[in-house]
Amino acid sequence: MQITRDNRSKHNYFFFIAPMKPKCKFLIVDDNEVDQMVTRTLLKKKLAVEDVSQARTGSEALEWLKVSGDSIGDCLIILLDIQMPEMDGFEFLEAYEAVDERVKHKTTIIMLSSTLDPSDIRRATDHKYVKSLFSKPVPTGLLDELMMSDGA
Amino acid sequence: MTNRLASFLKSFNPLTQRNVFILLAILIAAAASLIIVNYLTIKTLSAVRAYTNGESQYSKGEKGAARHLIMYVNTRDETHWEQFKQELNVTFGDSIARVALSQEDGNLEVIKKGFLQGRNHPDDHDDMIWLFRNFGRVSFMANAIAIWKEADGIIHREYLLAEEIHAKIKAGHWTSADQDAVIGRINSITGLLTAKERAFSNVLGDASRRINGYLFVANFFFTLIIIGSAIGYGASMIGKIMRSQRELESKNTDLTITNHELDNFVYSASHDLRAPITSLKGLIELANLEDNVTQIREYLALMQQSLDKQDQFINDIIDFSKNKRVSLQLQEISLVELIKSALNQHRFMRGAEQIKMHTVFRSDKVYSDPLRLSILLNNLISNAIKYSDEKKEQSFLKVETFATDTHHVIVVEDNGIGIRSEDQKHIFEMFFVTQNTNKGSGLGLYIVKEAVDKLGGTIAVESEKNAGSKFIVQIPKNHVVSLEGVMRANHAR
Repeated sequence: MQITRDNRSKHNYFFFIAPMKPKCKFLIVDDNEVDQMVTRTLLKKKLAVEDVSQARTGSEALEWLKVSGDSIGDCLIILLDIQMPEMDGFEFLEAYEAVDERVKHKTTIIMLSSTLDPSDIRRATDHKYVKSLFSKPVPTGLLDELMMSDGA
Repeated sequence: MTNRLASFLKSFNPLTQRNVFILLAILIAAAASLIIVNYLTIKTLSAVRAYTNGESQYSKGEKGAARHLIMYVNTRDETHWEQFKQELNVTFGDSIARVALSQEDGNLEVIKKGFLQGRNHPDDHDDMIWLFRNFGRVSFMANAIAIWKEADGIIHREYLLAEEIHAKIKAGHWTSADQDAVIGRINSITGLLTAKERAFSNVLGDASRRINGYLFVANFFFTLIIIGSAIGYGASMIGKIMRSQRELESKNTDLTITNHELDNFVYSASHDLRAPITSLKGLIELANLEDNVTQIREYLALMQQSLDKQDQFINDIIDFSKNKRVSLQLQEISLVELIKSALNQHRFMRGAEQIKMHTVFRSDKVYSDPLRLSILLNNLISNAIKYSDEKKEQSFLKVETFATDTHHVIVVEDNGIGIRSEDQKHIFEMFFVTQNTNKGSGLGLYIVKEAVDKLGGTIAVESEKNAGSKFIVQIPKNHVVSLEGVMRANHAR
């Protein structure tokens, strides 16, 4: 069951290899190695995405943004897990406020989680910086749809 | 004596059951005494009043008789003589009563008839008899009775004199010389009687006033005692209520904490239960996209890993629940057996073959709970294996037991990846996982701590990042498990 806030588009979603107009960088923020690998591989196999970086906690992600913020290019998509040690997904979003506007402008944050907790889900989808919340494993079709409809 | 009293009062704790009874007993005794004292005093005063009334009738009778006697002497009219006798009957009645009362077993009817004749109201008779009988030999009453007796004696002489006069007059031998003499004697008798009557009244009056005084004091005293013990009793009740209130508040706080714990637990548990499943779903999706069998095998291995983790988590939850809810079953246990069995169970755990395990047993038999001991041993041993450092040349795991004067000590030591010092104070918290691992559920050490607490023992950790870790568990020898320990375990966080 995929959870999404955005249900405008009614496209059939079978674009197996769909080259995306702007080449977006991806950042996966998740402490679970298996999930990291699964997400990365699915992005590669289904969406032909090669440029994938990893961070294991919210603080690592913030570090990465500070360091690589300038080299983002056209766009950045962050796949953000909720449950992580040290700084979890929501804590990251609070600290994200302080990130450079130019970086924020090019960035889309999508929360990726295995949570069933309705208050978590509501908190994520209502958040101003979160585009959408998807349930793991990453639904590449919905992801693609989302990015297509955005046009970035 | 005052010292002992003082120290008794100081050490008097109004809150104990026994002392509350004492207060209550004092209160009831004081109230009863008060009622009795009041009753007796009122009865006494009422009798005294009756005697005062009686004296008044006696006086009137005696004075009336004297008047009629003088009239008779002057007029020689028989009607005066009759009236003289009639009036004197009042005093005779009282006299009869007195004499009868003075006897050991005086006839009640005779006494009452006498009092009635003395113009005492029948409702007062019982009280008057009671006072005479019970206080007849005591101070004021004895005094009054003596005066009364003397007065009766004088009246008797008066009567004899009167009979003389009557006889003389009847016989016609009455002279004016006789007349003067007689009147003189009558007057002097009357004078004596008046003195006696006054004395009688005074004695009763004094007694009345003094009894009033005593009554007031007694009432004051007993009322004070009653109020005092009532206050003491009330205070102790209030003390009890306040104590229950405090207990209730603390239980409420505990309950709120437990509820929080539960909420936390459910939230974390539901995530930790679901997470491996989403990983699995992802891996299956990958496997479906894959043709390369080797790659597929890799994915299968990862699936196995996820499932193992979930299985372990479910085990942990069950351990946690058992530890919390199953009561301690203390018995003699062999630590050697338990540890060997735990090590054996973990022989085929992933990574175990690379680890050299050895044991040093300097203590074996303990008196403790086998469930908790095996829970904590299993957790510590599996942790040592899980967090072993593959980069090291030879990983080892050492389990050691020895005893001090008061405790049995179990040490589990490894040269694994160690624990950062800033994490060391958190590792026993529920759902705490360290950063560099995906291997833990966060429950293992929490459960170990709970088990150790339940046993009344302690656990300590010595560790250095990348060097290794050492866990030291101490179980008290005398299994009077400290109540504190159990309570701590039950209220933990």
